[in-house]
Amino acid sequence: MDQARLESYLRTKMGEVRIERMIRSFPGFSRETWLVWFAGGDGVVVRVEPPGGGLVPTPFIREWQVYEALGRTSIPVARALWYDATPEPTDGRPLFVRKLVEGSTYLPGLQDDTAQAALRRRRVAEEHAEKLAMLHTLDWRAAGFGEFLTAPEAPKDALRHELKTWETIWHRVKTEPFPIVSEALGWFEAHLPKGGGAALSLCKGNNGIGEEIWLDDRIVAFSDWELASIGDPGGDWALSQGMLELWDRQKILRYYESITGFTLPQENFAYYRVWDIFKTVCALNAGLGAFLNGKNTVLARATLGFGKVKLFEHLLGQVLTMELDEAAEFVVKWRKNPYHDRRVSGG
Amino acid sequence: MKPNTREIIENIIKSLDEVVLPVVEDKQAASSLRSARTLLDHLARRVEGDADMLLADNADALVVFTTIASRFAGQKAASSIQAFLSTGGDESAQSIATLQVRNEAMQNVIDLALRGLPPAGAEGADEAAIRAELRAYLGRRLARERDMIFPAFLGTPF
Repeated sequence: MDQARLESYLRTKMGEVRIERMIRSFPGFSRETWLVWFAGGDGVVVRVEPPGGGLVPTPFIREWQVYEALGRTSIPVARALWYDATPEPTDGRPLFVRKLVEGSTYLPGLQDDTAQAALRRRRVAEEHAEKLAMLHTLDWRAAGFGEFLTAPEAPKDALRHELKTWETIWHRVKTEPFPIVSEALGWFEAHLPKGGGAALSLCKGNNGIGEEIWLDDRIVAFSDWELASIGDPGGDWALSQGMLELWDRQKILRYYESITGFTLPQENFAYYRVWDIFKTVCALNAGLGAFLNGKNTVLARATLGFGKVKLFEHLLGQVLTMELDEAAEFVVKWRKNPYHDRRVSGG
Repeated sequence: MKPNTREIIENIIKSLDEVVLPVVEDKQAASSLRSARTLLDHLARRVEGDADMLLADNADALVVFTTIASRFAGQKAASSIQAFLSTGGDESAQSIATLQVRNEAMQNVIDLALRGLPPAGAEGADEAAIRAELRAYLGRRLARERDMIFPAFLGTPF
């Protein structure tokens, strides 16, 4: 995005601002995220729909709606400023703007092999559990989320609702037939945990390090809401990208349960571990569509949307003959979180 | 011709690794290079194996279609299967582009066939036999393409 064009645009909305520096966050493939600092210390984050649409096949405007609604709650989130469906500086690609929050998505030194770092990992794990508990106990109906997010009837329906929602998305966005994935969807149906979800909560989707804005080891703003949904809060733990490995897994979960009053069914964790493979396939392959039709030439669209999807297709092919626990263990051996050992930036 | 296609691709990768990547400082640009390297690694494997893989896969799918056709009467995918069987000829006479188009069309039929079956474990005997045939074929397909995917896409995608 051209700095001069963006500055002119921001002036029409914010008055006499001058951009001192701007960077695009990395990797940021799902949706473009530009961090903008003004002369004088203030700043904004400009979130932009990528050419050909985002990697995650959910409506761009929905993420804005989440920010806007959360701004009326006590959940830590950057203040939403405005949404523009046809902005000039992006040649008409929709964008929304939020206040820049001081902090980082990355916690340097957290994985150091020292006693202090181990203690710090425990504190970070507890902080994350506390903030997730805060999110998951939010009265989402009162906050207006039911107006733009579909919700299951009851907690017992939460996992099936999620399955059916993403099954529909998959058949809409997939770039080729993928019969193995179709069989995998049958496997998920057959292995749906009988107990349903622990509650019906506002769930974030991918969360933890690499996603939120952290300052002094505290989450000062939940960030990136493209996967927000109403569902089983246990699903967020499955998408917490290594947060449960920061300290004793069971102690973190018991701590969270003591705050929320929820009981997270263990069976759901095994299910979500495998389910996450399918959701990843769905999102990455959806992103390949814009690469194939020439609207988005970012090569990661191909390595992710074709290459990684192929790897995961092989994985799902093997899962078809497994029972749930065996499949979950098998999948865990494959997955690793890129955010705990790689420098990423965001805001 | 020397260098052959694979040698050219492998040397492009080497050049990117040794000459270009070390001096690229912009994160997005460096990421693009890493992705390009990964895709080239895949292409180096695929360029020599694609035709044989597609030939074998299409031939295998046609055999499976023949096997299951009689059990498929009345199913939604039956007419598509019959269409393939009636046009089936010498696959080796086809160009790679044609083989790819036919292969994708076959996958579509297989997908439709599987989605038209009752859930696994709740089928009748014929339906269970169809699913077993199709799953066995899909297993062979994964094995055939495996060397083009592993290890090319195991590394960093961006």
